[in-house]
Amino acid sequence: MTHVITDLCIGEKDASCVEECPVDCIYEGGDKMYIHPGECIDCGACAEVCPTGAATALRGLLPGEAAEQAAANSAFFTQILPGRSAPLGSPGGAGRLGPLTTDVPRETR
Amino acid sequence: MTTTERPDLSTAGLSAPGLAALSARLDRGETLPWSWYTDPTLADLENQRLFRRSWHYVGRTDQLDAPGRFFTCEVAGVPLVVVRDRELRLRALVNVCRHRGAQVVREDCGTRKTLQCFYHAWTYGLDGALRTVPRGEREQSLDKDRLGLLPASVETWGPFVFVHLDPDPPALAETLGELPTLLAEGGIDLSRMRFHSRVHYTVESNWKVAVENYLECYHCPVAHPGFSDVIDVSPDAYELTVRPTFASHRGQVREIPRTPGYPVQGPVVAGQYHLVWPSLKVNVNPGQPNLSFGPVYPAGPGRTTGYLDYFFGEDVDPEWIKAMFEFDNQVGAEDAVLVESVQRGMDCGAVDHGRLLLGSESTLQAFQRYLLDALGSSVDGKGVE
Repeated sequence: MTHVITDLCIGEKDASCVEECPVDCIYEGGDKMYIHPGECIDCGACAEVCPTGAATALRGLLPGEAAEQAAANSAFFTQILPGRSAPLGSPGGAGRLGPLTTDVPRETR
Repeated sequence: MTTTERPDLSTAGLSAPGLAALSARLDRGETLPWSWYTDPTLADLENQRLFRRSWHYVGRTDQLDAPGRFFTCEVAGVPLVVVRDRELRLRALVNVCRHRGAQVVREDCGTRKTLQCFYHAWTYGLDGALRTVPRGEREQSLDKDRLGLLPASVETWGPFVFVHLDPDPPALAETLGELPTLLAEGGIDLSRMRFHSRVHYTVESNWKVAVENYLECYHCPVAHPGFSDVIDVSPDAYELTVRPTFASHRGQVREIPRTPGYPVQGPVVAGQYHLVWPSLKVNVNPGQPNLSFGPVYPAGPGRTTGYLDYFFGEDVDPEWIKAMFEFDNQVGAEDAVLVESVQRGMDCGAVDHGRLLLGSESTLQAFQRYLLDALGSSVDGKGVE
């Protein structure tokens, strides 16, 4: 996994990144956007256009923060999110799934 | 069939002795060899020595009025994207991905936040710098700093955007010369002109036939009765001027128009028609402030494409615009018939060159002189052996 959306996205959800992503791997949660670690091709377009700096390459973060953000983005797809009955897994495109109103609970990260 | 002596008038005449012979013929009023208007192998040479060494009008500044606004175009076979970057600087970039060669931007125009290639998602900034390469981290020696989109050059004059394929070309002002002054003196205030529409056209002739037809008005009394009803096309009244980088016509409105035509009264008292080498047309008709501006390009040895961007003064009555378009379209339709007839004559091969009337076709002779000099020059400026 190479690019992530950090907590700087919380309350912003500018979503410029969604238009730029060529593989539609940026999913919308209730509070922020999430990049699917298995679908991202690491093109960097999201980071290029993100107005808040939330979309970023993992290699641009400090080691501890990188691990935390990687886990948080990954958890959105591997955990059972509040209000859902199964993990999202790999939907193969955010457009297919549509926006969600739920997020990874902070205490479970 | 002509019975005159036939020296080497083929494209092989681009040897130094051939050039000298052609130059002497031009001085005497003979034309360039008509094989130059039919030979498909000349296109590469024209691209290399004319079009790739010239400034080209490609669009308007109002199409690029915010960061990320862009349009694409093609100059001498090279795809370009012209874009306003985040620092508001205009950029002209070769629209070819440095990875495998795909066109990075495929739309005609729009707004982009990045220049991302649709093939493998190599992502360039609006300044053309390569920002990210998917899986690039796995490569040992991928130097992104050396793999930005290649720069071309861009300059503006009023609302007009010009590009040049050379990243370090001579200034646009050198090409324009007196043209801005001539337009201003003729009643055209570019700051008050508004874009109206772009009109595309194709004619079945070599592009040089189309340019040469544009360059003289000797044919006007015969072939353009509507134009000649409005403009005094007699040899003593109609002015032709050869300048270093372009040629001009200036035609006064007849004191008593023969027919009403379109309403020619207004602040623009004369028509002016300029051809900037190699192929940019700049037209002003008499009457209300108006301007059409655009290139012709080769589309094969016997086909020419072009467009004209029409501009009018901000207060010009739409009915006047409609009437002027009718006038203009009539002239264009008549010209298409003329150039296509000329091309058939050249294509048949029965006659190898023509004879100009220098008193009325000095501008055409100047264009052929420009062609001969430009095509005959190699990169170091010497003749081709």
